[in-house]
Amino acid sequence: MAQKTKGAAANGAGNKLPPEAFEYNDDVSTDTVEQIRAERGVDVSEKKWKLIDALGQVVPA
Amino acid sequence: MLWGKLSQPKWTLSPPNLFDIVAGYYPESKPKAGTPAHRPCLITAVYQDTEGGTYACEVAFGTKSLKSHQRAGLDIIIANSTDIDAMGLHMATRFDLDMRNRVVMEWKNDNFQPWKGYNSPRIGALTLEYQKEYAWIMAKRGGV
Repeated sequence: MAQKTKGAAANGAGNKLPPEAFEYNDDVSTDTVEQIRAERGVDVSEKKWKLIDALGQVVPA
Repeated sequence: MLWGKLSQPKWTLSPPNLFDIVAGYYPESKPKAGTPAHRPCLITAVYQDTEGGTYACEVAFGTKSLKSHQRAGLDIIIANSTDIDAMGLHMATRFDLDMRNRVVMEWKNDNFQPWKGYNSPRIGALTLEYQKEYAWIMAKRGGV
């Protein structure tokens, strides 16, 4: 765990990072993933979507 | 379509790159009151709308819940202080590479937002070493 301790080198290259940088201490449940997929997900099986950058497997269209 | 483009911030006009780490809204299982927090997400694929010229990207979410033992070899776990700095993160972070947990979302400010003081949602990018690890993990997973 790379939690900063006193005397340790500052992460963020000395930049003052915003609070958001610290607030993601949670897992994402499968249910919520399904929810966002339904609400905001893009159906890339539509012809208009062209894959321009990827490596290996992608979410099936 | 043009109006839609003008109402979006400038950063939406250029797509992120593969392996960029960006700040995106991703639902949490236990969200705090108010709007969902935006968390570091790893870009694992980029799509272009050939009609409208907009972009969409497949993302793997980042979490501070490392699960180092359970998820070693399955996820990208960045715990080394130097690597954390190099990738623009502040805390040790795990990117969940499960295909079922990845979502393709449009590259716009409904889904992605810059952290305060940043011009775009882009925080950093995986270093070459971790890009190789990604390729190795995905080959081993066989797309699972």
